[in-house]
Amino acid sequence: MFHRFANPARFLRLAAAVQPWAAGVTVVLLATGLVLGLVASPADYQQGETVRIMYVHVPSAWMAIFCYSALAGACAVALIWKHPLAGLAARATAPIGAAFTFLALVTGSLWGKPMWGTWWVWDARLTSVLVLFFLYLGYMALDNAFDDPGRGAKASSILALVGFVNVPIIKFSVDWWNTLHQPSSVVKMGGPAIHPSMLTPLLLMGLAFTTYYVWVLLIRIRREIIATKIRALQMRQAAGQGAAAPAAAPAPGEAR
Amino acid sequence: MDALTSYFYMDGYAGFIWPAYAIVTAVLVGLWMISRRSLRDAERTLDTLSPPEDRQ
Repeated sequence: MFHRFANPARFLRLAAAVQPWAAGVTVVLLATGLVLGLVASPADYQQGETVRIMYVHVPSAWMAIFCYSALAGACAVALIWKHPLAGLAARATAPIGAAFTFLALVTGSLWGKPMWGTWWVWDARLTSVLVLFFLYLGYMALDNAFDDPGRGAKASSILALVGFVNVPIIKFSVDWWNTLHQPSSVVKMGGPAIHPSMLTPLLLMGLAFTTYYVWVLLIRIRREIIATKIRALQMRQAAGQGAAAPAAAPAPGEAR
Repeated sequence: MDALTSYFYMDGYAGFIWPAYAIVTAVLVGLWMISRRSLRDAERTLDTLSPPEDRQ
């Protein structure tokens, strides 16, 4: 099945069919999650109304890590098997992951000020997520830093794979070090420590952000496939023009 | 009306909660719009470059 969709033309047809469904599901899930999170769910007994920031902060943070894992996985497949779509998927994922990481940092800051009394603290969790944000930016910068897209993709893929060491650090930072940031309440031994009235909107928003990722990822991969075609056509046309007008080409040994 | 005002007041935390939702909305809608525009631009460029038989 994996190789069936490696063909970009087949993938384009599949993506065009799936995209409207991903969009529709995202809108429905977001609407339901927002109504439940902003209206139907209660205020927290300790954090009061600020707990409502959780419904966007926690899914953003989940997606920041999810997208980076997807990015690293796609980079590994692109490096090892030279899978044509994996490299494009990695390139398409990076800006979405960077956006979610940015949102996790900003909404966390807006939640931290009223609850912790500070916008920012240089503790393990916040610092490792900031490092994740810079890894995304570094990946994108390196990916675009070479004239030859193949070399750029290779260099940035290696960076993404090395940077993956940061993902378990983010996950376990709240257990390994004492920090202002609370440990996980959803994924923990003995089941979630959140009342269903808050857990339901949180999971709905998490699902909505996941389908949003699929939706925008498909748009971006389609764009990358077309950009590859454009590059190939431009090179073919440039080669055709060079053959048609040899006088225009520099003579051997002539300074360019 | 009072109920609505007190809802938006969010027990005094409106200045933190609503900006959080506004930024999330702006970034997610913005990224979607940029991605979509970029796809349309690429499709248009491809149309001008490729002869009809090359298109898929």
